[in-house]
Amino acid sequence: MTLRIGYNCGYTPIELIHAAGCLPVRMLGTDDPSSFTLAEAYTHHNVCPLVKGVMAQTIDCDDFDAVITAATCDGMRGAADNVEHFELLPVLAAIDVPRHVGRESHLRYLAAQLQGLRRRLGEHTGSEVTDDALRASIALYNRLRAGLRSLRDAMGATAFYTLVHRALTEDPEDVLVEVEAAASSEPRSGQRKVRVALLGSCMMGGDYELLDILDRTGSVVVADLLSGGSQLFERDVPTDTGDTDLVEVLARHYWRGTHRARNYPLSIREDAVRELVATHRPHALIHNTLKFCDSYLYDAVHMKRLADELGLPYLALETECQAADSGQLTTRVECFLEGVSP
Amino acid sequence: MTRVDPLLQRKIEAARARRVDAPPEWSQAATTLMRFVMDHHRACMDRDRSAKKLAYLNLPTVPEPFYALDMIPYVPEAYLGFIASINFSPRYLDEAAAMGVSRDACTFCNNGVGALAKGDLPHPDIVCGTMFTLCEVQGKAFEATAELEDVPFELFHLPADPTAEGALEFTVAELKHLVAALEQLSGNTMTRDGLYTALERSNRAYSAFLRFMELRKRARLPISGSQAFFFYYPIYSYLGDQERTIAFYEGLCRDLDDVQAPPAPPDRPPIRLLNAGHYFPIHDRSLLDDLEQHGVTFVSEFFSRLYYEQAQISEDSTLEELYVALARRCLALPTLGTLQSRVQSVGELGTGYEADGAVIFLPWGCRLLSSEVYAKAEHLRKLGIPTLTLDCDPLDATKYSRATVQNRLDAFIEMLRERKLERAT
Repeated sequence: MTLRIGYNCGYTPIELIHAAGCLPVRMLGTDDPSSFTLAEAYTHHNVCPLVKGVMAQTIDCDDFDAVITAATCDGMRGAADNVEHFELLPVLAAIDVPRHVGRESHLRYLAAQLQGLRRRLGEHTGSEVTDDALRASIALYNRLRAGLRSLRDAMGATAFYTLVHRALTEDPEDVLVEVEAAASSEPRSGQRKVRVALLGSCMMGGDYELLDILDRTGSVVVADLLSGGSQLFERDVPTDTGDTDLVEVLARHYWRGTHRARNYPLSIREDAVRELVATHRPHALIHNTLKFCDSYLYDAVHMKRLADELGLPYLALETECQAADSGQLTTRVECFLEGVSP
Repeated sequence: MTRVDPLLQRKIEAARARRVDAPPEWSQAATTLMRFVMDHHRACMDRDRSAKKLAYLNLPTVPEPFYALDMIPYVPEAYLGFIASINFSPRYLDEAAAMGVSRDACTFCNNGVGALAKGDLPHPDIVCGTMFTLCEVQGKAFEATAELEDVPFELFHLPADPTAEGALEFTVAELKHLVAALEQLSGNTMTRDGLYTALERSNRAYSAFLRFMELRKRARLPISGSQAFFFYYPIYSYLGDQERTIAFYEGLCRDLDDVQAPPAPPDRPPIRLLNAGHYFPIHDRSLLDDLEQHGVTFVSEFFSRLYYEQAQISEDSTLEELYVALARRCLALPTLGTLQSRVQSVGELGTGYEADGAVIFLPWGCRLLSSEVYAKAEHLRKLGIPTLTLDCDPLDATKYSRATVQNRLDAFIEMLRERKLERAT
């Protein structure tokens, strides 16, 4: 039976886990409030719902054989610490993701950790992670990425991001069959109003309230810079890298291609938004921050300034993945979209 | 001259007056601390910007390279903590909210952003943020600060796991990056002697600070627990003057050696509390002073452990060896490493200071402590130290009820006192 390895962060190279013969399962939490209660046995209630969701997935849970954690913010670092401290699950590695995207020493630091992860995966499964296996996994996930890229215009927002999340949590070969079948179908038709780009925190598993609202109003999500969103499939992992160590290739791909609010410098994220706007021509930007996600709460201020500069309407939301805020969210988003001219 | 808000000026004077009226048995050094903080702040506000360069840094990062390069390290937290303690934060929080920063983000960081926007902090020439020393949010708030001031932001990443392979080399590289940026800004060059002198002075300051921490183990101390919290301010960054910092802590230790506190009444034994959480209670000093009146003193804090490790240097150390020594000191910070190590650290403080109980003050915005609170509480209880977790954010009036907090503390202390009397009989 395939070992299921949970991981909590988009910087984790899933190809490495897959090449070890395991199934990488992104821990995205759920929007089930009872899972938050479960997590609050270990962590205080004023941490973000994603952290609580991830914690809940590790408690009394048979879903994972082991986890790979990453210290990508204080909350996630705390969750990782608790998993280890209370021995909730075996921890294969705790990745310390460096923040300075422009600094070569930071890249080397991350690459060294991923080399360690490769060794530990080999020890855990009892067989070395070979270069051939790694190349095959990279090729498989690149096909999946290409399929997802081609699907954005063919599906509604909720259906599309549900598929993205499935690609991160289910057997990639199974999802690829569905993705390639969907890609050959006709593009979605119907009334399309406002082209929206989404920015902000990670989208939690099952928390599609905002996407549902956008679908209901006929809006189209043309692009996103969400943690846990399109960044995962926007670019393929390079395969024409000559003699470069494959783990280093993965380190560079994930680190530089993943725009998180915690990363420095800010100008890189701003450039990514400018590029997104130039390429996808959204009519409006929506910045959605999970409650208590400090990094994105601060970034929301910068992004407002940038949206003003770009002349785009901007809505900053703070959501908690609770059914209770559904009505408020609908009212705010609908009011905002009313004022946006397609 | 420094523009000081009239309301703030009145509050400072009122606080100073209270110091003058402090009981005579209290430490004389306590009366000089506020002046030290304000002198430094005013000097930074009034400085000639074309002369020395001023850098913001978050504690407990590495102030020594700044001194070695003849720059002024300024830790906004020291001033903001003092300001918060005289209830001046609400206007800063409102200012930050008006800028669009969520009120759910860390109130202390928002306090800093708001104060800067109000013009109540000196303008920095560079902002230097450290990650994983205390929290990531400080780094984000500093990034916002640099944006606001349109000055360079220098990031200093400390490895989350100090024992990881390559952690020391990585930290040394980070130090050198920082120094290169500071050299470029200041126009000065780092020398072996400059860094050695700064480290040697900080070692002496650490040494005196540690002695102060040892003195706090006494059964009764002639300073209040709330004062003891404030004695951290100089060690953060030496408030612009390393020698004055050393003299301050040495003077404090002399005071405590010389002065004896009056004995407690036998039917009302003093209660010794460990603060296993955040510094935040200092921001409602009246609450702590009230506790003091009832014989309750905070005898130690988890964050004191940030300043326990001295840099291992000698007169023969080369510049490279000094960088390594400083990097090792950084990696010894208890906020790095495993939760297990922090849990043990809190336990050692609880037993070492013979705490009757522990309080984990948990401010609204502190994700790091929020994640650790149950592990620490569980460990302290196993050690026989009753522990109270208290949501407490005195900076933000919208999230703080003095009466509720006092009520919970009173009940906890009553239980501790009963327990202590029972044990005594």
